[in-house]
Amino acid sequence: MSKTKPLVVENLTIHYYTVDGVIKAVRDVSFDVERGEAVCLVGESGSGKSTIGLAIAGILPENARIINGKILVDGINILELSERELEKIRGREVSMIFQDPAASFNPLFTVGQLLSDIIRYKLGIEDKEELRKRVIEALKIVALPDPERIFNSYPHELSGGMLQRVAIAAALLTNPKIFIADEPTTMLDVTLQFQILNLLQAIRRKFNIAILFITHNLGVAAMICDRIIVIYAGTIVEIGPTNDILRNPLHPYTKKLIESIPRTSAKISRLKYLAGSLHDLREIPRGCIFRPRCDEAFEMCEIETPKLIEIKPRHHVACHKYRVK
Amino acid sequence: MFLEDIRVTFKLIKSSLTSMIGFIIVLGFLLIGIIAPYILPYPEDAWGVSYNIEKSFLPPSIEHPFGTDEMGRDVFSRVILGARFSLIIAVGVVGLALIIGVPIGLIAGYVGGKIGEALMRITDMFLAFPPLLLAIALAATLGRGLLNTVIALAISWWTWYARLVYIQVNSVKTLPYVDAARVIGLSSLTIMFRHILPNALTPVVVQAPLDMGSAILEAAGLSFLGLGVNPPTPEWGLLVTEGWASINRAWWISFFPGLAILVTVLGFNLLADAIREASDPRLRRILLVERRV
Amino acid sequence: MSLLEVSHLVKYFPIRKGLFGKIVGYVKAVDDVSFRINENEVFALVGESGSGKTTVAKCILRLIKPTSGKIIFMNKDIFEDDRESKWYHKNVQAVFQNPFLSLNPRMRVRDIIAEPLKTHYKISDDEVDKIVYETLEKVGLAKTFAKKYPHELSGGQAQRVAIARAIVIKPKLVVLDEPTSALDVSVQAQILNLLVDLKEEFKLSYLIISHDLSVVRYISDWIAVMYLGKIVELAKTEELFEKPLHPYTQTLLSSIPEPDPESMKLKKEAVVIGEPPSAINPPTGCRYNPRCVYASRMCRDREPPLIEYEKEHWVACWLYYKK
Repeated sequence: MSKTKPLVVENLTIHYYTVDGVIKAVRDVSFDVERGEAVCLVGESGSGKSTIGLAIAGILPENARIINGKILVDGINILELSERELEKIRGREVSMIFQDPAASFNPLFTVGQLLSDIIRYKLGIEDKEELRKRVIEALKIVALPDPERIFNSYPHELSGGMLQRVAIAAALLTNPKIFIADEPTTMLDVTLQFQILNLLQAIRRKFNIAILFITHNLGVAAMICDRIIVIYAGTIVEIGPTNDILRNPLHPYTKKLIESIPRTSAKISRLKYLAGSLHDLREIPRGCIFRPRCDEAFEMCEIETPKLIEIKPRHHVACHKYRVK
Repeated sequence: MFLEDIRVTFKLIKSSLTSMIGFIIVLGFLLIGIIAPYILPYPEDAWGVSYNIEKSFLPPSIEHPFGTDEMGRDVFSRVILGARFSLIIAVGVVGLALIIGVPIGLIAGYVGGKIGEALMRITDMFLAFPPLLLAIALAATLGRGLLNTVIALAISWWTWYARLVYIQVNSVKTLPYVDAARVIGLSSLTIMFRHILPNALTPVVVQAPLDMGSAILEAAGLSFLGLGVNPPTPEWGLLVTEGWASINRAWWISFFPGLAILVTVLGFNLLADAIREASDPRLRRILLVERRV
Repeated sequence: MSLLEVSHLVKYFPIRKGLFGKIVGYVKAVDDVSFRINENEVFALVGESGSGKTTVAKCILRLIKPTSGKIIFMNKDIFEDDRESKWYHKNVQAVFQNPFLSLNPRMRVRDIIAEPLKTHYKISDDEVDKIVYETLEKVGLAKTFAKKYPHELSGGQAQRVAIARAIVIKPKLVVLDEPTSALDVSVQAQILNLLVDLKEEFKLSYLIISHDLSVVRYISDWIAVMYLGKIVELAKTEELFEKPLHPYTQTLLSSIPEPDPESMKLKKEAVVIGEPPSAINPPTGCRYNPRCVYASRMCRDREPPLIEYEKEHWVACWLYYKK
């Protein structure tokens, strides 16, 4: 059992080049995921969370450039690998599932063919019997009823929930070290979401896989993750154990995020909300990027960008309110 | 809204060398086509109303940059005037095809059901003929001449636009903003023209410049086969044909008109690429600033 | 008092196969749904995909014609006269889920909001501009937004424009189809607050369609829970949350993830079984029975009627059938 962490991200900076300018989408992001741990990247649209996921999986769009940083998968910096070496990592050591499962599957092939291809390509196994056995087993792990029928089905014949389970099965085929899930339940009904999240929990426990879960839903994060990373406008504002963050949020953004969620558990007379909108990421202002929307800001916030500091055990925050003197 | 489109298209054109070249070529073509009659060094030669046997088959020189043809006419002037005819053909064919095809596609798509399908079947009948063959057949029936060439080509062309619009309308009419328009209480006609049509025209707008280039090419082809415009009209295709017999002894008579066709069609194709990228909302936003070619 | 009355609404969609489009079955999207909305009330239709809630909304908006049943608005059957629908649209407007799809991308904000005005009233351009600016202000947008195009706006701003368009002609009823589902959580809060404020100011009624019970709790007076084309429970909001009767409602409530470690502990006990079945061949008897932990023989044989179990609390479940 190697001692290296399945995932370490260091000073990751990613820019997008567009017709309207250069968007500094991710700036100096660092975090890690331990073996068997589930970590949530929580942020709203434009926060950069998906970009980080795509960078780790090695599938950033053409106009994205990694300006700086390291991504260490099991100790190896994948940003320094050649395309061929990257092929071995992508889909093998690092697996990813997406929001729309239908978009990940070629509609011309059956589930059996698609999953067999993955095993064949990534693990080099050619024997048909062996392939079928492994695929059926994977389909069983994700609790799909009647795996034989699913093996012979085409993606469009399956419902969204079933297809997402197939996607999870496909992602697990190669025994990845790290499993990235980018908003996998956002398109699903709430009862299905519940089932899928429970499934992911079960799989995590059984196989001790590290999971990086990307979501905008704090409730989902609460259900599945040990640690939460709150990301705003391309930078991490708070990291900590889930219970800690939910009970004692430190960063003003995290607080506002929690306050603005309507609950089934309590009747709220008025929802508190976060005023303003996301800054234009083509021009990064001096100081803290959350300052324009923060009602606890003071002079320092305009001058200096706050760094992530550990305030409590394993609970870090990037906010001048908590400067260690 | 179209101003906004033009603005983005320009940005895209500027960002790539090939698009820039295409744009300049097309712009040059349009300009020359419009002002042609006023810039001819040898007007009578261009219109073909004069001939000068002593000056025939002169190779390219300073007085005659493209040489002279078998009748002693200045090839350069003829090519310049030819631009105007090619322009008329390009705009005429595509314009006529649009006028016929777009409304048919629009109505068929919006009404849908049995009527829509019936309209599309009729369209399909025309589509089944290879365009060039249809154009040839029509040209053979209607006879030669500029107008007939334009009509013949347009008749074989409109079906494509009808189908493009039909498909687009079918997908647009299921979009929520069309539902929203119905909820507002607008009449079907208003919805069709204000909400559906502008959004359904995108593939047509992309296709049109490409087709202008193709129209020039096809007209040239028809002329080459003896079915296009009448001599002595200096249409490029006809010029190539006329110089074909003497190709060994005076290569320049066919070469320069042929080059003109090549460059112009290339220009349209390069420009069409840029327009296509500008029309794709996703591509629009993620174009690399550093891209050169 | 009663603004909208939906009475035994049924909508079946035929399934056609083969060369001649032979009808081989029906998708029973809505199967006998009845409810009422009063003035200045917010009524929520809650359910997951396949529940039929969107189809109900489309019938109410007159986008689809029902297979059978009546929809009465201000004492008039809305489908009675095919052509006379303008008066209805003057009084019933809509806000859709994705503002970038519900706003014509080629129209400026000013024209989008002016369109309903110009359709229903003959007023001068100056007057139109004045009202458009006023409405923009009411939804919290500055005048400068008038000349923008939808793609220049953020999700929240675009949805505000959609809301402005819906209220500019002061309708009596606004149908909101998942108005915040496509928005970020922090923006969602802004929009929900806005909707509450507008309702108070203009004395509007809302029919809100949602799959998110927590959003619905914040804004609604009444909630109807739908499953596979039928209403399985109907009650006032607080009553439903405090005493959910139908097993499906209970499951729904316990599946919702909340960012609250205390309540999450309880939720982990929830049991959710199986996949949502198809609306083409719904299960016999009570449609929820294959997934219900309390299902009995009766549930598989006969469909339970919607009965008023307690005052103003209806439920369709054999567990509560007293006789």
